[in-house]
Amino acid sequence: MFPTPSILFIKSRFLLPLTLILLIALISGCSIKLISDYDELIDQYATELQSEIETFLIKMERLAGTTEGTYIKNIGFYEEIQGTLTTLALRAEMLDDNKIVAEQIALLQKNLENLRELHELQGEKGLSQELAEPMKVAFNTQFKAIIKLQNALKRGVKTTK
Amino acid sequence: MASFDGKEVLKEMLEAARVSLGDSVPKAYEYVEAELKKLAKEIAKVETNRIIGEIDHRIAQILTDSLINAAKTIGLTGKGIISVEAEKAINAALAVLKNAIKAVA
Repeated sequence: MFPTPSILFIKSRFLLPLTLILLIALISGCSIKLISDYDELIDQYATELQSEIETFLIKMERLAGTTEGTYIKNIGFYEEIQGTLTTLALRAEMLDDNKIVAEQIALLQKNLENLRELHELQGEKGLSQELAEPMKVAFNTQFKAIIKLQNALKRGVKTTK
Repeated sequence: MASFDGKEVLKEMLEAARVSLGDSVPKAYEYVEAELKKLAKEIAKVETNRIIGEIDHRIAQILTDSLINAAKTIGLTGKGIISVEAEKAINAALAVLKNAIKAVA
């Protein structure tokens, strides 16, 4: 009915060490992860897309007012970039704890659609400096932010490829 | 068996976290602030172009929306950097705790 003195002795002698061993086992396998790892593909694509979009905007500004500078003549560019962004978005969604990066790519997709709409609305006028310049600032800011975050995510040895 | 001084361990954990954070959070804030200032200037230019008739209301709306999307992207980067630094700080503190417990065991 009552614990014998020997059982009480065993409990008091071994309880603290046992608790400590369990705590060590728990903590040694335990490290916190709040956000995804660095992704080389996202970093690489962001750098390439920044260059492609910047080059396109510089070219469109130069061709503004000409047939070559109209939306119709450049639909292929938008389709290509949309395709790349869709691939990036899918990749970002696939990675664990990657919600922030996925949201950044979604914002890129929105701005590409904005650019497409602007270009289409302008018809024969094309993308003049008043339109191209703010869009360059918007895109460059976005890509810089995405790449900066990727650099911050290079905090450990493990990377995803 | 050595004794476990909870207060001392907590102090060491907080110090490990503080050292881990360093000046990373203020630097992240500086970056966000600098970028947002640039975007604010650009939004002001768009508005000026709309007022003087260089661009119409719809175009101005789309341009402003794009610049706001860029601002949101910056905010996400700031949030991400803080998550990385918080993670490092917590793990640094956990490492101190683990060692303290091992020393006692």
